Amino acid sequence: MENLPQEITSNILSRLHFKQTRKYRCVCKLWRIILSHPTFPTTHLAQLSKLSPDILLHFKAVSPLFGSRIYYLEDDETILKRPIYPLTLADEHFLADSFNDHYPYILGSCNGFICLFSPIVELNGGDPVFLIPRNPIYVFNPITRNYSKFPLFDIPEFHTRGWSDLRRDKWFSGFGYVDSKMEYKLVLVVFTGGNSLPQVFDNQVLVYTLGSTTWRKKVGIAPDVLRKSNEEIASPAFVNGSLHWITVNKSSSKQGPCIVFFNLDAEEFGFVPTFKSHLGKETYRYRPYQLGIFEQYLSVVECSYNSYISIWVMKKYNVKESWVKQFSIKQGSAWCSCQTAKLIKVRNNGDLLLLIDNSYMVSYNTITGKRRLIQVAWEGKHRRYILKAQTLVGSLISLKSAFGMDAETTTSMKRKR
Amino acid sequence: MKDSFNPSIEPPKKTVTLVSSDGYDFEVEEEVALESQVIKDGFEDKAVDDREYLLFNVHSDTLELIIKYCEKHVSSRKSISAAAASSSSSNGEEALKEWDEHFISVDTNTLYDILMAADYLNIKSLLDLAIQKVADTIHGRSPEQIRKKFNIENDSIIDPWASE
Repeated sequence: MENLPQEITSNILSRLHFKQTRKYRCVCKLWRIILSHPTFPTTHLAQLSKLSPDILLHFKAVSPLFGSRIYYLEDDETILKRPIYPLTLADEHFLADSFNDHYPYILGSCNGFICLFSPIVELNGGDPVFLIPRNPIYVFNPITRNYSKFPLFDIPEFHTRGWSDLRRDKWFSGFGYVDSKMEYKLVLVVFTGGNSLPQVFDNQVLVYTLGSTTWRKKVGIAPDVLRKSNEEIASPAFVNGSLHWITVNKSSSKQGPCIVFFNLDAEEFGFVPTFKSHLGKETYRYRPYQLGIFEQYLSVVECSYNSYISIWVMKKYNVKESWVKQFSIKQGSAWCSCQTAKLIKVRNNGDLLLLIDNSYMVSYNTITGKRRLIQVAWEGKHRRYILKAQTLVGSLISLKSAFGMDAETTTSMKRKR
Repeated sequence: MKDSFNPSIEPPKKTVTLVSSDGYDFEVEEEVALESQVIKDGFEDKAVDDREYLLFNVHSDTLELIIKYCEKHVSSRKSISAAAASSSSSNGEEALKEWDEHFISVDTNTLYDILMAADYLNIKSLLDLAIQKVADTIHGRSPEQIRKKFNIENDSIIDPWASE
């Protein structure tokens, strides 16, 4: 192997986990030259989709007043030893300064970057329920601790509408990239509804391309069915150059899951055909469907309360017939009748990493049926929390070199003990 | 005998001859050889009766493996597109992925030979497969283990003034 051409060696090294690229600088001179070369992060970024991703955890106290915390959890063999102390995303001071002591929420994450915002929280008799995005939005690389501010965006008629109107708005967001152009885009979709009856909703789609100076706006292009999605603001699945949200068709003729996509290159919405579900209507309130990614395929976890968790996989993108029920897991004693399950990723050893009932993670072996709880510690002030999990691949790139954005760097990442 | 009138008999397949560095001839079907971008590029320029390629950098042991890989990929592609045309479900792509995984599970020296041959012949999918295999092999090993495994000499000059 010592005589490999340099470009092949460089290609090999660009497929390593970011942590190892530091460790291997000492192997030999050539490796050090390649790994410490200023262009290496860019080469590494281009190969990121081939790496097994790590996990981004977001603990939110049930009440926003009690805070939230974001962790970067490396998915390696230590994940099953307990308990785990993940790396906090960033220096607490950075977060406090940047978000005026409000807790950050995730708008989207993709290829090593996370978009964060701090929500506007309205207190309604001590019960804060109202969350809408607030300026500024930050893009953040948790590995290089490099961050940058987005230009300001407009909340539709923020000043002319009252709180009672604003709180009816429904926001969706997603973050992904256009492979052919290496463009990263953050998408915000907002449905605004007035007081009139019957309620009519307008929608706006705001798109920001990283490195550009302005947001672009398109009015009325989002399909209305998306508004009915139960999904959290930042949970679309990014596959095939498009962001996907799942919702349910409540009209009697077309019962079942409905997948809406937004293609980031064409900047258009569309629908992905889905499988025929046998779940009854009564299960809708349990959020029975959750989108995920199985290997590189779009996947839906269908959770039928008290009986089965089925994992559907669309083997050929946009082909209705290619939906396969890949696994069916009987709900039993180990997870006593969970209501929702989300597939986070397929781990290196083939285990499925599932987020159960938005509160804990399980590593499930599809061959033996063995399931192991992954315990992650959060020393939040509030005992009751909602856990969100998504994947993230660590990248060494700086926002300046990737997008020419003005960027700053925070102080060192802390390991919580 | 009316064999020549029977339409079900296929015409003889066009072949090319690949000659390994140690002088062995390999006669392979044209479409199999065309998996190599280098052969493909030179193909149009060659006369029809001179379809012979001298591969000075590829040993017969390695060439045999490379041909096996190309044959498998040509035939799988056909069966996958045939399955798609008749809209019958197939797990051809998954099966091929598994085959690839098995194919590339070789010792370090063989892997090195495949890597160099795939680079020389410019067979993109094979080069990618081999590179990923090396990356996977590196994963989780200590620098010392890597040097030993890949026979790399530690030529790093330890410079006390070097900044980290």
